[in-house]
Amino acid sequence: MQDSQEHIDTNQTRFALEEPLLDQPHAPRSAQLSSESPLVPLPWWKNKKVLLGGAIAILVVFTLMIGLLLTRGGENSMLLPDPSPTPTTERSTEYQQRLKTLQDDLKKADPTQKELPFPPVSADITL
Amino acid sequence: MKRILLQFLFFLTFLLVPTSIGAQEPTPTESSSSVELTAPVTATLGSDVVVQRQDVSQDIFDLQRSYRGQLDEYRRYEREYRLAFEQHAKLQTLASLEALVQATHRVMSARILVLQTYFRLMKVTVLDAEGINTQHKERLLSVLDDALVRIETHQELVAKSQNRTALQQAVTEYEPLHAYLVNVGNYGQSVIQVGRLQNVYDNSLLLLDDVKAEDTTQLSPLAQGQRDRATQEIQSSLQLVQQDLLKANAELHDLWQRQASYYELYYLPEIYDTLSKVLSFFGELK
Repeated sequence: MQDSQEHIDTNQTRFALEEPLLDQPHAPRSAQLSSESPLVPLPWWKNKKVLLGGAIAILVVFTLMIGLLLTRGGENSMLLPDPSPTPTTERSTEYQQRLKTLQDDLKKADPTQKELPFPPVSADITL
Repeated sequence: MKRILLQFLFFLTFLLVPTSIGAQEPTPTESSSSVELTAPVTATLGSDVVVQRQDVSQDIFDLQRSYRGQLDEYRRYEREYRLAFEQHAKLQTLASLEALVQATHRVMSARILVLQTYFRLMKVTVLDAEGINTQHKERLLSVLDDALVRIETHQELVAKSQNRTALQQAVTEYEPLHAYLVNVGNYGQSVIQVGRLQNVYDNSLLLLDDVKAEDTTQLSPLAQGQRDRATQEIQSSLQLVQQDLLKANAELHDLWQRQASYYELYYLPEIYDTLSKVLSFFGELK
């Protein structure tokens, strides 16, 4: 009996850890990998996640700087005095005002519209 | 990767848009502050003129309001007088006669108030009006004062007339006075109307002088041609107006002497039309 067991043990065609596949739950693949084949750490310039994060951070800082510059530019423009009206604009405004006054005066001067007609009082009040 | 970048740009767009809008918000404050600065200056510069104009305008407004109220009252008394007149014509009693005398007294008093306010209103209007020839203005003011004195004399007579005989005398005296007052009204109306047209003519002439004095070298040949054409039209039209206004001013005196109607100045509408055309040409020179 003992001889027969030794004979079995020495059989090299049989896997020592051979077990039925469905009898025990699967271990996670990563655990298997980490235990069986641990990863070698990559340098940061080859890591895509690090590169993407850095690019986004630079973009954010750049955008904020542009935003700040634009805001400052707006504030500076607010502090600037109003552009002084050109002589042409002043002339045009004054001319239009004078013309408007003339038109109003002409309306008052319409001879078909009597401004102060004699009051409608009767002259034939007698006793 | 692309999706992440797009989402990030979308986020940034929302972040920046309110910032740019916020930068434009203070613009109305600037304009309002400039208005606040300029307004007192204008008020200071024109304070004397404005105060003077306001006083006259208020006088005219008050007189117009009084005139309307007095005219309404006169119409009411006139209706009562007509009724009393018809009643007395039918009844011929002492009571109806007494009612007629009272109604006549009331309507004559109301008529005097209307006429007084009318001529006062005309006087203030003449004092306020621009463009009236000085000679015509002085003469008209003198005539208006005379009319007011005559009305006051008539008012005293009516106030004293408490019986039929005295009131009959006041009625008789009013007839020539009424004709005189109508003539004064026509004359005043003519002087004011000619003065208003003269004022538009004078100011148009000043505006034309300023237009001619402007530097037009920057204008294109086409614009220069249009400008020259409009200026020539204005000039020739103003010459026509000047001739008519000279004629009108000369005839105003005759109008008063002959006691003629205001409508004898039949060419005033023509002057008005020509001046209206002149202003249209001025509008092209904006």
